[in-house]
Amino acid sequence: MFRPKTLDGIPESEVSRSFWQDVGGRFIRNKKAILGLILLFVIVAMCLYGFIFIDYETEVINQEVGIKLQTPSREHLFGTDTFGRDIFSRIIYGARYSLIIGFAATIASLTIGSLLGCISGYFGGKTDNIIMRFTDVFIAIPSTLMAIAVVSALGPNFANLIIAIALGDTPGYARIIRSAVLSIKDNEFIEASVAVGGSSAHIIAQHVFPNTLPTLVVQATLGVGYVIIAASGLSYLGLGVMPPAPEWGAMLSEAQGQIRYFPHQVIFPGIAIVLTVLALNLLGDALRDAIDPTLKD
Amino acid sequence: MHRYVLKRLVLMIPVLIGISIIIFSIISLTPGNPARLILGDRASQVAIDELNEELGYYDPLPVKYVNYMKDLLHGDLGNSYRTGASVVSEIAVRFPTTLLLSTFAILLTATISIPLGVYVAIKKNSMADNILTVLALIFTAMPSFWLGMILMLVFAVGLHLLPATGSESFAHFILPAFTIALLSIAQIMRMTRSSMLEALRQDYMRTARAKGVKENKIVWKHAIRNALLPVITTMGVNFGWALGGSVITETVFGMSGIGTLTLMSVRSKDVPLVMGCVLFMSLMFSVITLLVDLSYGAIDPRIKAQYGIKNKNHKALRRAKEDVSTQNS
Repeated sequence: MFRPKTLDGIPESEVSRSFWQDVGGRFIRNKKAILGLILLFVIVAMCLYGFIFIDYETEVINQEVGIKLQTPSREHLFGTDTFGRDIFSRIIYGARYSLIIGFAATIASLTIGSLLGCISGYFGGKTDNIIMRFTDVFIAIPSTLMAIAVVSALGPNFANLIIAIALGDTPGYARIIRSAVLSIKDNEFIEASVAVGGSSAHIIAQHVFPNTLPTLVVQATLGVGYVIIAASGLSYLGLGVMPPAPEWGAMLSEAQGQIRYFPHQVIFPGIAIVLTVLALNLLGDALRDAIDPTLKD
Repeated sequence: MHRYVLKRLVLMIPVLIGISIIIFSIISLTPGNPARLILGDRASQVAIDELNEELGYYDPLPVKYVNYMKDLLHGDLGNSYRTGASVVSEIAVRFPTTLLLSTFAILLTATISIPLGVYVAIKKNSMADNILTVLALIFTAMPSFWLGMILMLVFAVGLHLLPATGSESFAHFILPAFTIALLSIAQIMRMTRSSMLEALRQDYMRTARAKGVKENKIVWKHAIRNALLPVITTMGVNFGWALGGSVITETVFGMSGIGTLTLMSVRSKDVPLVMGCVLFMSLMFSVITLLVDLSYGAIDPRIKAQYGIKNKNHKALRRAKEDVSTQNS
C-alpha cells in the first residue's frame, strides 16, 4: 500500500484516519455487518443474474394447469402454485420488485425529506414553523392509510406504489434531518462560514448536509427494509404490484386461499421477505454501531 | 395541568383540519361517479345526473370541501354511497372489534415485552439475551400478514386449536392479537433493553448501590422509571395505529373492524365512508398521542413539575419528545 513519506516511522495507531475510515473499520469487524452483506449480496445477485437460469415468459408467467399445486420436489424446489407456475422461479424474480421499490421509495423520500429538513432546521423561524406544521399533519395520518388513499386515487401499479410509500415516509425523514441540522447549526465552523460570506445554499450543501450523513445513512438502510414490508403489504391487499407479476406480497395473497391444503405456497415467499429485510436491518444496526460506538451496549 | 390538556386539545384542531384537506384532495382525485355507485348500473343517465347534482358532485373542489366540513360540525359525516347508512353508524358498528383487538394486543405487548426487555438487560450477553436478541431481529423483519398466515397455519389449520377467520367470539381475537403483539414485542423488547442498559449506567445507580439499596429495588424502582419513557412513547404510537385499524391484520383474519371497513370503502370508492374512517383514525391517533404525553408526568416527576412553569418549557419538551418518537417509529 502506498504511504506518504512523512508518515515513515510514525506508529500505525497515530496515523490520522478520517471519520468514515474509522466507521468502515468498525463496520467490517462486525459479525452482523458481514452476515447482512452476504445475504444482501446473494439477493442482489439473484436479481441481476436470475434471468440467465430462469426464463421469465416460460417459467415465471406461463401457466401450466397440468402441474398445479405440486408440493416441493426436485424439479420444483418450492413446489408450484395454483396456476402451475414454479414458486422458486417466481421468488427469484420477485426480489427485483422488492429491492427496486425499497430503494426507489427510500431515495425519493430521503431526497425530499433532507431538503425540507435542512431548510427547516437551518433557517428556523417562520419557515421552520410552516414546514413542521405540514409534517405534523402528515405524520398524524397512519402511513398504511395514506398509501391506500394515494394508490386508490392514482390506480394500483408499480410506479404509484413507490409514490404512495415515498409520500408517507417523507415527513419522518424531514423531522430526523431537521433535528440533526439543529445540533450542527450551532457549531463554530458554521459561524465561520457565515462570517466569510458563504451563501446559505453553499453552507447547507457543504457544511450542514454532509454532517447529517451519519444519521441519514442508518435511517435509510433501516428505511429500505420498512419500505419492503410496507410494499409487500400493499401488494397483498391488492393495492400494489398486481398479479400475475411475481411480487412476494401478491404471491402470498394468491396463496392464502389454499392455506388449508397447500401450505407450501404460503411459506416460501414469506421467508424471502424476512431474509431480505433481515439483511437490511443487520446492515443498519451494524452501521449504527460503527458510526456511534457509544450507542452500542 | 388542566390548561395544558385544554391547550393540547385545541392544538389538535388545526392538525385534524389539515388531515381532512389532504385526504379530501386525494380522494377527490379518485375517478368514480357517486350516483352510478348509489343507483347501480341500470339507472338512467338522467337519474344519475340529477342525483350527482343533488350530491354536489359537479361543484368545484373547495365548495365541496366547505360543505363537507359544515356537515361535519353538525356531527354529520354523510351517508355511505354503497349501503346508504350513515357513516357514523357504520363506524360505530365496526369500532368495538378494532378496540378489543388493539387493546388485547397492547396488553399482550406490555406484559410480555417490558419484563423480557428488563430481564435481558440485567442478564446482558447471556444465552437468553443472545437468543432473544436474534429472535427479535427476525420478528422485526417479518411482515404482519405473513406472520398472521403462519400463526393461522399452525394453530388453526394444523392444531385446530383456534378459529382461522372471523370476529364472532373471543377465540377469534387470539391469533390476530398475537400477530400484532409479536411484532410489537420484538421492537419494544429491544428498546426496553437498550434503554435499561442506558439507565443502569447512570451515576445515581451507583449511588443507590452504595447506599445499600437492594439490587431488585434498584432495577424495578430506580432504573425502570428512567428507562420507560421512550418505551411508553413507542407503545402509544403502536396502540394509536392499531386503534386506527390494523388494515392488514384485520384483512388476513377476515375481521370486521375499522381497517377492513376502510379498505372496502376505498375499493368501492365510497368517498364519505373513506373520509369518515380516515378522520376517525387520525382523531384516535392524536388522542392516544396526547394521552401518552400526559402519562409522562405520572412516570417522571421532573416532567410533571414542568407542566406548571413557563409555556416555553413544555414547548421545547414536546419538541424533544417528538424527536424521540419519530426516531423510534
